[in-house]
Amino acid sequence: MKIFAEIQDVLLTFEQREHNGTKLLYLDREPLDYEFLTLGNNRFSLILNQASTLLQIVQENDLYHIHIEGEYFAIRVEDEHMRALRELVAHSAVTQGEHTIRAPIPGLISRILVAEGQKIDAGDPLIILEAMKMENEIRSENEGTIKNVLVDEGKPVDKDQPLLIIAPESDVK
Amino acid sequence: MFKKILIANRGEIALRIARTCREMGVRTVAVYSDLDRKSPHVYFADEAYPLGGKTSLDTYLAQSKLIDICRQSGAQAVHPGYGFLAENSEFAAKMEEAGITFIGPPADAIALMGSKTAARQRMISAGVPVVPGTDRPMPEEEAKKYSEEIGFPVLIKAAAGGGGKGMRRVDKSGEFRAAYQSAQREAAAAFGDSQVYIEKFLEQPRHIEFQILADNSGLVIHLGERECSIQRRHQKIIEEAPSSLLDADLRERMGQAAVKAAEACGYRNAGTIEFLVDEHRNFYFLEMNTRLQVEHPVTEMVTGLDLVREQLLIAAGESMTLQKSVPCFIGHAVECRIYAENPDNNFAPSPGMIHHIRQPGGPGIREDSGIAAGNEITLFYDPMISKLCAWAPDRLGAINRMIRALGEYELQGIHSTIPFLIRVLEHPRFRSGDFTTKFIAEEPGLFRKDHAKLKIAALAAVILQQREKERTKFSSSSNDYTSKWKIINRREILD
Repeated sequence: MKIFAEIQDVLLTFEQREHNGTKLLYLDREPLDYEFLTLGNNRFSLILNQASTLLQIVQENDLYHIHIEGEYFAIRVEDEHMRALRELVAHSAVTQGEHTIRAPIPGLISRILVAEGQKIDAGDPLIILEAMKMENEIRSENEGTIKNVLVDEGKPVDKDQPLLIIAPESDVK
Repeated sequence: MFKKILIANRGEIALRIARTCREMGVRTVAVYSDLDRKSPHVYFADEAYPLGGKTSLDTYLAQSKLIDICRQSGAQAVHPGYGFLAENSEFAAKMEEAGITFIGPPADAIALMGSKTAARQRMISAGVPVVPGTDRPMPEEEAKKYSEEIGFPVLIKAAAGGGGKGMRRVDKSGEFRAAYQSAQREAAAAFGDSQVYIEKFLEQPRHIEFQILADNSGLVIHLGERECSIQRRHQKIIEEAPSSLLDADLRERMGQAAVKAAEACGYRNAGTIEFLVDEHRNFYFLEMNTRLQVEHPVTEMVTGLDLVREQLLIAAGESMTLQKSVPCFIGHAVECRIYAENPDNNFAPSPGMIHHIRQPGGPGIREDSGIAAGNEITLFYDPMISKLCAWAPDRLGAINRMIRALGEYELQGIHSTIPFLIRVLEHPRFRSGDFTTKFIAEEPGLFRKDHAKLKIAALAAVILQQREKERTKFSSSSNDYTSKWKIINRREILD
């Protein structure tokens, strides 16, 4: 069975095969010779072909947050069944034109730079969110029209709180 | 020497000050907000008093509460650390009025240097070179006109500012208005004063500062420079001593200018003179920081001094350890500031609970942090969580040691800037010493990841996922697959 590890734009494909009741992992057709020990406190020791590494891993559903020698990766793992299922679901879902801009971090709405009904281009600044005494500009990823403004200036917002709803150009007449 | 002092700060700097106090036999009084009850600075101190409240304004900036706690606890002096009230002349004056020693400069020196425009005027009359710019705060229209005259790019800076807050670069007229107003808002929020002024923006400068010490007899010495050119959004992230740019001659001239600057404002205690150095090695006074700097440990490592100890000696009217400026350094030191920010997501703040922390050790390493497992990083205070310093006989040795130590740092629960710092330290341009304050903006490669580590990390994730699957194999979750498959199959047929 194939198992996929996805990190941003990189996809690594592992394969699990069974030999005499023992499950082995392969990467690029090479069998992997490793020892993986749990140390506690989310710390793990991996020895791969005698190369020794300490990892800290925090799991969040199918996402693995991994700290390894000062580097950090967020890795999504799924096997071929899970992947096929997800692709089908994504394919069959009705694509909604609207999308919601959410607060990437908790903070204070310092300024709202757009108004309802306003047309925007990709890259346009939408909202200034103040957090930890710094101003952070939230920009639009797509073009469209501001359908709803859901927050007020001067008010605090939580992480992932909806801020704006953007409709694709054609939707708003 | 004082018997007991109050530390009017939190986090790593409060702990760092308390450590020196303990070594000197001075008892410490900690103060804490509601959110900081479990912080190391509280349990390390000899006494601890609640400030009641969460926001900075209600706690570490609440002057009357701090004065009351001084009286209650019998603290003879207050150390303000950096940030919060460290550069508030009103607070320093109130302390002196209350008969409590302020461990820092006299209130009038803070006030003078706190006004960036007044400081510029004083430096000009003392013969210290300054960056071309306005000599006073200016309203928007006038400031815009002035900028057009001296030519873009310019910097809009908070008159009461420091630390990069309320500062905006403007490249052309059309951008002026938005930048001016944004700088004003940030200045008002950070300093309670929205006034801003204009400075010519130097295109390829280095940011080099000199540590000075001044005692009560009027003696001013300097302890050499710190190289602070590695900055992101005007925030220093890596500092070192000495600077790879300075030779003995330039160090001598800048050191003398720094001493002159401190003398010109009647300075006392520890302070820092910041300079910009252009590509022709001309240097300009930028500002004076009238407090202990975040990056003071690198100076401590190459001089062997304890700057907090020197501050206490001076404030208590005793003599400083050294009576003349430091002619040369011992080895090389590097400091990295570790922030609770996510470098993969444009350095967005990363608040959260620290689940696990284990600081690095080994030869030549010093770590100053004020957090422990179980502490929460909130949006109420500064996102800097730790300062890591490395010392070695030479610059590359110190850099390599720092990379080693950053790799050892264990921190779970929040994002940190550690991966980014390692890439800066590994960069050939940084290693060669050939960089300016624009280094990070100029090097997009700093955001690339290490692929060898990625493979190992991916393998670990896959192993864990497989183990998890084995564990849940016989539980009800396996039925979920079937049902979802059925749903999709039905939908496909309908389509």
